[in-house]
Amino acid sequence: MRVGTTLLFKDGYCYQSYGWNVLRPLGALQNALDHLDKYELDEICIIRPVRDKDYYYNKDIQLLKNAKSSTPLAFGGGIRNLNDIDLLEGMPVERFVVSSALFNMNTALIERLNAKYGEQSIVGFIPFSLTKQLKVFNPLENCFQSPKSLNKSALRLCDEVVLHDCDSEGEYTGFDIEVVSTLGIDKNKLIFSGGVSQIVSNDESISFKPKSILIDNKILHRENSKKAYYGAM
Amino acid sequence: MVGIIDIGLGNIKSITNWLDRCVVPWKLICSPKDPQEYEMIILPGVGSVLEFMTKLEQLRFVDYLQTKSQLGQRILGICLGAHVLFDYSEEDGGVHGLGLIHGTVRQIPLKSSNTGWLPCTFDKRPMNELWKSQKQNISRKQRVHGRVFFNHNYGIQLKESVDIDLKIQLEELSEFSALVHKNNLIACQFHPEKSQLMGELLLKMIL
Repeated sequence: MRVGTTLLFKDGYCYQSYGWNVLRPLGALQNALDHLDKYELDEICIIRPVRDKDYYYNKDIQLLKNAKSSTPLAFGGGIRNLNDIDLLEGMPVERFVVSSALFNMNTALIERLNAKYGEQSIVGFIPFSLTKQLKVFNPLENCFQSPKSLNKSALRLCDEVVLHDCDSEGEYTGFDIEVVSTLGIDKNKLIFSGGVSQIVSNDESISFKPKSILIDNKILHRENSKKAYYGAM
Repeated sequence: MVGIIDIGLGNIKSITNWLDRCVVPWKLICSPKDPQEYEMIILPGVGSVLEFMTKLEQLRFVDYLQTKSQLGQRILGICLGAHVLFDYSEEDGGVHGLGLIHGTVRQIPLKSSNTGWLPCTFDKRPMNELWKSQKQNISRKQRVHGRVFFNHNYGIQLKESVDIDLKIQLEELSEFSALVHKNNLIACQFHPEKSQLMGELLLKMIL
């Protein structure tokens, strides 16, 4: 199992998000990447938290193209049409994260990513909330919806899928494992994100290990996070 | 000087960052008419083989690479760049490669990609003089052990004997190669440019 981190990147700056609601500034992208490189994490998932309209895609992409990191990078947030894919050329990124494409009945965007960057490069991202019943966040509509709105064909085209617990985002624990059985996605391709330490430390609560966990970007604030997570495994 | 084949595909920026970290001068090769001599040419990875080979053919890099290889030019292929050094890849319905090393690229027997870190030990001693007697001599290390980053759905299966054939250190993929070295060529299934310290040591050892 890999141990990585998510890094929220928006309008040229990085943030830490709490509960899908509060953003705490972390500074410039390169600064954050330099610090994260020191931890020798297994991967860094750079996510642009785009909800509804996206005015800064081009600007953020240009900044990301100049980013330097020796850690494997995944990038997503704002890849919504075929023109957006063309702008990704030359990025120092191995994998691409799609979210709104999972709600689109047309799989052309994922198929294009597949043809251009290979099957191994596509990661789905599903933000979810499981307070009373399971709801998934649709970035196109900027609201939580029933999981039935997900396009199963699009999900099948993803090499891995991030399940991001919005309620526990930025927290040490709280990832709701029930989402796995409720969504019914192939267990061999799951990545957990958002309050994941409980999942890792309490091995017996799940019968399998996800392919990866993303420990939010609090690693920048709690310097012992990575060691703690490895210790828990 | 290291040359990087630039056909508008692949993670070139990651490669240039890697070379910068190791303080190695580099230049992009945007045309097969590039007259400069390079100590090593890198064929970068990330992509799908059909689009990659089509671009190499359109931009006339196929003849360039085959001729350079025959003349003893040192070439390092990374991930997809490594796949195209072989005869044939099963990806995208089947695509013929450059045929510089005899072998086939086949789909790996896993339910999803092999994405993650695996151990790797690289020993320079079986390499020929072409690699051992370089002027730059960045590192005098002979052997290095560490972890390297993989991200692939297809893997290399050799059909000839080579100087070095490191297998992937995973039970299900033990028939697939992680690194192949034959004469002036190195095919690297993993991403040394994203393998942190191990990747930097590897580059310094082979340059």
